[in-house]
Amino acid sequence: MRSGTKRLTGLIAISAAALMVASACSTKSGGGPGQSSFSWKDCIAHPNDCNSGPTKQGGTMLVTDEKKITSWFVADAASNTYDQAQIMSGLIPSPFIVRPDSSVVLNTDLMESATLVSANPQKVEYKIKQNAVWNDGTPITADDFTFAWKFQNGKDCNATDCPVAGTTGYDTISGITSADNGKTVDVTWSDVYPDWRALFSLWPSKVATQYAGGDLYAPGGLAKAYKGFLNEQMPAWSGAAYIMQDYQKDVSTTLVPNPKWYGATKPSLDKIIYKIILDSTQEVDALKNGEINVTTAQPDADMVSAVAALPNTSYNLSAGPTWEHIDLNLKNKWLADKALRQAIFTAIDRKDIIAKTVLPFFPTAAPLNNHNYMPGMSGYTDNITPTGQGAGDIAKAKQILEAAGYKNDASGQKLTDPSGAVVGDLRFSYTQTNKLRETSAELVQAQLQQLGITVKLTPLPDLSVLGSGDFDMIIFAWVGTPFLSGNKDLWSTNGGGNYGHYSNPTVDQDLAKAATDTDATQQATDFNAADQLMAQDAYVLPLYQKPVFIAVSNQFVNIRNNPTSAGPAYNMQEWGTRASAQ
Amino acid sequence: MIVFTVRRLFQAIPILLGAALIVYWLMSIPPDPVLKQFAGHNPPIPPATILANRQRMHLLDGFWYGFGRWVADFVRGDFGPTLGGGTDNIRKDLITHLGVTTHLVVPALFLAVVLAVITGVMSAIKQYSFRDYTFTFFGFLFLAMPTFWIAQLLKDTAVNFNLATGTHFFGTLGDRSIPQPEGFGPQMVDYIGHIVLPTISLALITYAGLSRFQRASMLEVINSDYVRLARAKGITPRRLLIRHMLRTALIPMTTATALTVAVFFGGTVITETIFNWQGLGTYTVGAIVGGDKYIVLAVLMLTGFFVIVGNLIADILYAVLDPRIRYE
Repeated sequence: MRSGTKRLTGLIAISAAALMVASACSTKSGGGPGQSSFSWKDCIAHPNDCNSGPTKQGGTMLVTDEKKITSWFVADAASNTYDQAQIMSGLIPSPFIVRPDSSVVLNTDLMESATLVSANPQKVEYKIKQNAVWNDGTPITADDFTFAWKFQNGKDCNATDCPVAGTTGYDTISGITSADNGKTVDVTWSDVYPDWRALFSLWPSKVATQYAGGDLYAPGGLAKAYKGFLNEQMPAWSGAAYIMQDYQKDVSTTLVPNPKWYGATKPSLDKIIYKIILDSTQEVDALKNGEINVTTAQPDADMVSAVAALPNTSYNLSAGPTWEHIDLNLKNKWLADKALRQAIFTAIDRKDIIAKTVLPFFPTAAPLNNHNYMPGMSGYTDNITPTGQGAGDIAKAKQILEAAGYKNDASGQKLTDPSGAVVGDLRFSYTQTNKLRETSAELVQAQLQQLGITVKLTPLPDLSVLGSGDFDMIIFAWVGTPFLSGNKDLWSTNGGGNYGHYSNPTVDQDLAKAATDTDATQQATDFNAADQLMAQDAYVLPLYQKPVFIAVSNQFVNIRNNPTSAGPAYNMQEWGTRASAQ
Repeated sequence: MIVFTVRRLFQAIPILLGAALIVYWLMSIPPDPVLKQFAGHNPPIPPATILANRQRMHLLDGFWYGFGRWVADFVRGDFGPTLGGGTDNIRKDLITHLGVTTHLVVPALFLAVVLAVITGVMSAIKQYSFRDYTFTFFGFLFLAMPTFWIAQLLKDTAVNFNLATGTHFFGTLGDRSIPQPEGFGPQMVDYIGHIVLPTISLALITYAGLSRFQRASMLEVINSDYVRLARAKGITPRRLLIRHMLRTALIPMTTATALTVAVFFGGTVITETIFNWQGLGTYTVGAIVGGDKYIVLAVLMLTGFFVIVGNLIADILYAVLDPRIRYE
């Protein structure tokens, strides 16, 4: 029989060994990251051409895809996700390209020109390049423009048969005519639509006709075509630089160069493989292990630090047209009062929120002062600072309340309205998985407590309360684009994105005008007139532009951050393996 | 035995229906999944499109009509629409995800059960020995380790091993590299490099519980009268262990293993997430989070079926392992 001492010694030895293994396996912490890795530092000043260089033939690029693919038909509302659109950028030709600096330029591979030939009625002449063809050799023509118009206008195919993500712009087209064997396309609108450059991502009408059974525009033809594209297991067509070679459901999508690609820059990569990784926290390990080469995950301080420590990897954080904001629900009994809203927004300290959320990994983060334009855009004016909102000025907030008849109760802890009723608790809703929003909510809670307003933090699994209106205060982000006429729906009375039920007839008028201005300067004037009124009404408080992240293995060149909704795939044909070692 | 089996299977139908009704009710509680899916889009999704998608998802049906429709469709093999639509097909997708999970679960379960039986028996035979303490220590250590932690630790270690050796032996995404290497040999090496980490992380935690179970069960048998009698009759230790003690001690282990199989098929979500395996766990959690109720219902039917069949197999094995048990 063994002695007790020996047994104890054995146990201690095993415990010590296990602890040593555990301590040896622990990770060391890294230093604070910058906004861009050293080799990509020029991306801040030159977002459109940083990481440029000659490529050599060959190579496979492995890119993350954070969403499952439900359908390749990204015009469909349920399939209209950023990740799917990124992959389809390699197949779908569009007349215009949105570059990293938000500028919109003609896609000169596809188009000779696109000219606004008449302002009223609005008429645009598109000239398609003679050599622009689909991968089966069929020319890209006016027929493809007509198909895009017909299935997305909400009239020729109803929402039950064609539940598209958007009809705006297509719904006011009155006719399309063609000449020059379909290579010249004249599009006429019944109303002015200033964002015409955003339209006409093209699907092959020839394939649509096959899906429709021969006559695309016969009754039910468009519905059959829509269903055909929706049910494609893997598109066999392409009108852009790449074509799909393989798709393994929920695993990966492989693109290879389109042999019939007509553009000036021929793809040099052998393959681009999009790997589906649903948990973005796994992407840094995958990058480190060489299982992916590109990630565009949502950044946080830990993730950026981890990527910054990786050898042979560059990264960049850029501010784009996606912006974080706090919205108030004007259906709330207390928030219906403008003075209370103004006081709340005045007490919120945006600089403090930024300092404790994004600033540690995004040094140029700053308060955003416009609801439509981003810094750097020609229409950007500061409409928030003059109102004093977002300054964290508790004294001024109290003055606003006192002037409106609000008082603190006997305990001094609760705010009472002019009738003497205690202002009720306000729920502050935020998505529970977003730590930055949780921190922002906690800061707002502390800031408003100084006014005697009790804020109840309400973490939510998602943003569905926007639709149901079951919120008092909420923080979320708008994904912006350079195409602004659609912003009318965010702020105008009963607009589809006006979740807080804001209504101001003068603002409605200004927005309606801005949405039909073809002159950019006039549009900015009208949007800003509306914006100043909306800022004074204290409905939505802009916080900051959300940083958009990309990390890429150094062996690849010509791929860069594009913080707009176009994403890095805007120049997919240029991506390649670096010709010279870095 | 056949009558018993058929009777048990028929008894399962009302249980599954009751479970489905509860899940259908839970998944019908607001928020509306279509509103959730399209909330915050800029530009906003057209109201007509939202309505069309709500109709497609049968969200405008009344509760009982909707449930009745689902049952009728399910019996006919139509498992219902998904929020994603398009190429989604719940029946096909379920089979695919089940295949992935099976791929992960079978080797992990095999490893866990074999290790648990061996160490449990060895511990029990030499109770309170250094060997027993060692197995006990590691058993409790693995039992105390959260799955997400051990899986992440294994993954980090493997990635660092790859970096240090300049190889790509260990894979951390899915069950194979993409693109896959060419040739049978390299593909097998690639497969092993991908399966070893999730198998170990899943097996270790399962092994820990099962080994304690096996040890307790074996100790009970060792101290029973019939074993004492067998020893007195002079049966060789080897024959006593294998024919008399182990056979009896495996009966409770059979129940535990059968239940573990059922739990595995519904609950490997953490391992699947960390190693990016698109199995049943991630499929289910994604559906619950998104409010895809027909996927959740289909998974419930499948896992319910596994639980029932697993328990049925356990009951049948009782009779095989213990001649005293007979089913009428």
